[in-house]
Amino acid sequence: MLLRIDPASDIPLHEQIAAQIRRAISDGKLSGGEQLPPARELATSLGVNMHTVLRACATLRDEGLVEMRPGRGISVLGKGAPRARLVELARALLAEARRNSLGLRELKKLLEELS
Amino acid sequence: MMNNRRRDVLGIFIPIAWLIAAVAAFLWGWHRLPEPMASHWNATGSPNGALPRISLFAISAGVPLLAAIGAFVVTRRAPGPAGSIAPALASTTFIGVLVAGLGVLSVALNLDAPEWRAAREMSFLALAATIVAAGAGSALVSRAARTLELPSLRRAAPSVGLAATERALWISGAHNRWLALLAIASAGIGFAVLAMGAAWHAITPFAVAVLMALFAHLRVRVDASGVSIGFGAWGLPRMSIALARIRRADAIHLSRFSWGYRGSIRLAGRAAIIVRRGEALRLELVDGGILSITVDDAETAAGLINDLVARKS
Repeated sequence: MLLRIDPASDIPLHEQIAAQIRRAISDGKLSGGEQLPPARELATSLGVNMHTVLRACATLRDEGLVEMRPGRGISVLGKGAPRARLVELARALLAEARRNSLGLRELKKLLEELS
Repeated sequence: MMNNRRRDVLGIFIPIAWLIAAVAAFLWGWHRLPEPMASHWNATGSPNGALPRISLFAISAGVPLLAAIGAFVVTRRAPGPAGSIAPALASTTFIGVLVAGLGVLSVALNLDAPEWRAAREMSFLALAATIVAAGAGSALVSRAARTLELPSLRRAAPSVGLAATERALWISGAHNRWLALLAIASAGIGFAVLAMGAAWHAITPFAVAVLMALFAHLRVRVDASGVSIGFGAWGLPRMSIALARIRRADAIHLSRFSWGYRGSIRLAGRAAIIVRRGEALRLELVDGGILSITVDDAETAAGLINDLVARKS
């Protein structure tokens, strides 16, 4: 798995890290059960604060993609790949809606109409 | 351009010269040589051993031919630091010139002799001159090769196109299910032996289990500090290669028989960590050493390493 972040970019670092790990999961480069290196190591390697990495991992945990256990590090959850793809699509959809000034309620309505 | 011509002189033209000397001497004198011909002389210079002409020809041309092939291969090898091939070229030249010279000398001494015992006596001077010629040739070649840098004959170094402001981390690994199973089986045998009360005899199966377990999994990480390799399920022990020690990285394919081995091996300046066949990362070190590590997605790792190395230099 290749994680690359650009401190010169407008996107916050924790979002960049989360997006890179999410992409690795959806591409199958990180499969279910696989362990990520400890947050401290990830932070050292990428030259960022450990809290930035933890924030990225918390986002991924909230999306149901990884599991964080104290002392056991971060591991990828079983059905990570299809879920990561869905999350990526959902995020893209939200971003597109925001660009078109479409509120969350309208977006929900649109989804209900379509389903 | 100069460098290329010197490489051809050292790797092709000089070896061809000694090869021609050996072959031409026999072809020219073939019908004037006794059968068998004298092939060995005692300390006082009298012939005391013989070989069929064809055998002596095979040795006198065969060994220089192998030396010539050696010199050619050495100069066509993957690029290394300037002068890294000087010792190898010096020895191939010494062997090639010496054996070819001795062949020419044997032909000269046997020429027109009715039978091998009647061959001329070996002169100490001629023998010394042959050895000195081989030594001098070898020294000259070694000197010429000392500043010879070999051009890259391979494709351009892989890259992931890392931007100047970007930071990156690559993580992957390699696994061998068979070694993992063997480790479990060995541990099982160890426990069985232990249960039978033969505690001392359990040491071997446990040691085997630990070794197998170490090489059943490999974790490799690449970042701005270099390459780090962790062994076994816990990634311990860990080995690191600082980025400053790496000259270039490539992705290669190791066949089942590439090293004929699973584990860690070091041989003649080359080292490898092999847990399976297939994709591997090949690191060329600044000191001329080479380290190959079997790992998945090696192409990306090689690209990232090359980008990081380029950024540092």
